[in-house]
Amino acid sequence: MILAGVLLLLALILPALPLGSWQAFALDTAQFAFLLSGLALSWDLLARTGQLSLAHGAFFGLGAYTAALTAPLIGTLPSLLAGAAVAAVGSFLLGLATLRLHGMYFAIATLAFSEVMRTFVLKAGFTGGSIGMIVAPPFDGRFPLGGYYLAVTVLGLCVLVSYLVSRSRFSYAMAAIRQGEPVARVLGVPVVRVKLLAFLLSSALAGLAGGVYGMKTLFLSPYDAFSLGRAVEALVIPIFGGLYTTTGPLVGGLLLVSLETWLRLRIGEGYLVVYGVLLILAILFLPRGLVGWLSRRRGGGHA
Amino acid sequence: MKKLWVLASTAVAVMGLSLAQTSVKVGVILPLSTVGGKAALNGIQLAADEATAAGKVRFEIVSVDDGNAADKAVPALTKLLTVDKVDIVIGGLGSGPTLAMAGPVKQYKPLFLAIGAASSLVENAFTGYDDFFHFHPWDYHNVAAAMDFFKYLYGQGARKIAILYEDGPFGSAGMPTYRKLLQDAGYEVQAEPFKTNSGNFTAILTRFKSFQPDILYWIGYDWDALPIATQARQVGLKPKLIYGAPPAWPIGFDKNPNSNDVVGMSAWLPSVSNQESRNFVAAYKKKYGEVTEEYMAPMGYTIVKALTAAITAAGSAEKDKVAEALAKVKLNTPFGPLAFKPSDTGKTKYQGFDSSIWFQFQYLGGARRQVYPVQGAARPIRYPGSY
Repeated sequence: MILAGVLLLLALILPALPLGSWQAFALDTAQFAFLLSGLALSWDLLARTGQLSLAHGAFFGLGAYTAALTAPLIGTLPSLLAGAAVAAVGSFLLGLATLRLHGMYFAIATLAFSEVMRTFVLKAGFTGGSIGMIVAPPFDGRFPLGGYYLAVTVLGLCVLVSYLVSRSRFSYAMAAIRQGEPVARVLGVPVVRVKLLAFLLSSALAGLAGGVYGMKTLFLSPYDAFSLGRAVEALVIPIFGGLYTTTGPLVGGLLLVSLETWLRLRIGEGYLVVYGVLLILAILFLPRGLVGWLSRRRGGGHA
Repeated sequence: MKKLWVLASTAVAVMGLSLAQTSVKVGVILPLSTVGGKAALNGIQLAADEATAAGKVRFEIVSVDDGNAADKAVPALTKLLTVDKVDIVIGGLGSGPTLAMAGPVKQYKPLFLAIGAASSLVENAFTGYDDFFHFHPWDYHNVAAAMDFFKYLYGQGARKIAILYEDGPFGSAGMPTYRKLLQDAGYEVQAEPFKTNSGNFTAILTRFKSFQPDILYWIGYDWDALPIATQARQVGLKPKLIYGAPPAWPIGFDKNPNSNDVVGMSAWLPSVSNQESRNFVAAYKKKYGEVTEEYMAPMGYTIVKALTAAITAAGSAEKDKVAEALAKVKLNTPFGPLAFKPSDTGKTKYQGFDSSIWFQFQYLGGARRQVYPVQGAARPIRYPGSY
């Protein structure tokens, strides 16, 4: 957690660091890295109950579209909260129907939900449909670093929620469910309620990240906002960084986005091949993720 | 002594050339992992090399990949503008990433030369930004060019049109407009969406059979071309014309017998007979050892040619002077004459090409032949075609 605190502090002071001509580029890259890391942290929250979600791209998209549509009417911050709320409502409805499913069946149900949401936004007139929609910058562009600090805030919130959950009794219930639902039930854990609460928290944070994303890219299309690729990234980052931890998805997200950006700049065409090989190697040789490997080297401390 | 004299005179000549040349660093941001992006970069590099060799302008091209995604395009453009410190940027192939780039463009104010980005949303996003030069026609130009052809076919007796469109942004964006325009032109229209790359169109094509369309019009991607052409025959649809509108046609499609008589729209083909097109094809073949059929290659080439003319006229690589000169450039290009004027809606000040660069071609005997407009046609259209 100290590492997470240091990283958040660095994120806060990054605009003031003497990065010279690289500053604007670093801030842009960092902003997307924070949002993706936040999404990964939100995914990991649900994963702690043993559920593999492929709907986080959809929650991200729901948050993005809701914030984009409501921002001109109610302002930046309320619109972001509205985005989080709509994503949470979406997850609640999905959860009611699917949280009794396990493993692959749950993953397929969430994948179907993503497709349904994307198609809905694609066909709905008020979303701009397949043409997409232009999004206003946060605070009407009055603060050049407004978007950046929103991304830092979202990341900070995701870290805080993830940390508080991991320190609460709730985390024991989640771990019990992950290790075996029948046993958890026997132990008196309200399985569906715990999973639903984890799903709500997780999706609200994903929706919040999506809202800030749209305000940065200034444009949303259903294929980008509801991208399955993003749902996969949300899953790969915690696996790379270390599942069921706060530091794992945070470090994993920042490292992977930095690595991808660096490879794209250095190698250019074909950089994804190198990126893919590095990911495969990491998963093969770091089965508990980066944080798990570091903990083992340090003598088995908790991440 | 003689050697020394030769060396000295060569050095003086090189120095003189470099002093006479205006040096300019140009940023290029394209989806480099796509066929269109690579072709565009090849065209840009070719024209830059020609300008340098001609001693007019010495280009330094700094290229970055926009990943065809907003979250990759924004940092990549920021790097070009702040780290590489370019004042002139060529890019914006896909509309989505270009819209995302509107933010940094307005913040750092480069001269932005858009190579693609046909969506009218881009036109809205860059309204009021005077250093935005859009070379490619807008989407409404594309619709106008296709409609002109459909009106011609109406005159040839076509009355029913079945539209097969992919359900993504590319295929479905213009559908309501197309449907209305076709109905206004007197056509009876039946339209159905499909999932691109699904490979199975027999169900929809069989449903179309009872409609008995004169034209089967499909809007999708290159990988959909062959399954549609093949399965239309297999189900016995027998339209009088198959018209496709993918962003690029599949490589080798012309060699497949099922491509015969299929019609499509393009802005350029290597067979276009104007002098600039012939020069481009020869130069491209010399540099890259192949002939490209991607119209983004001559589009990139044209942009750098126009930029060279502007820098030469301005006598400087200073952004504002170049923009002022570029606005006055008149140039013959592989697409035909280029000159800038305000866009049709008046939202942007500098629009290069319009619907007039589009033409219709037909796959005939293993090659694409220009068939419409009739006055520029290499061959008369085969209507009804044999499918």
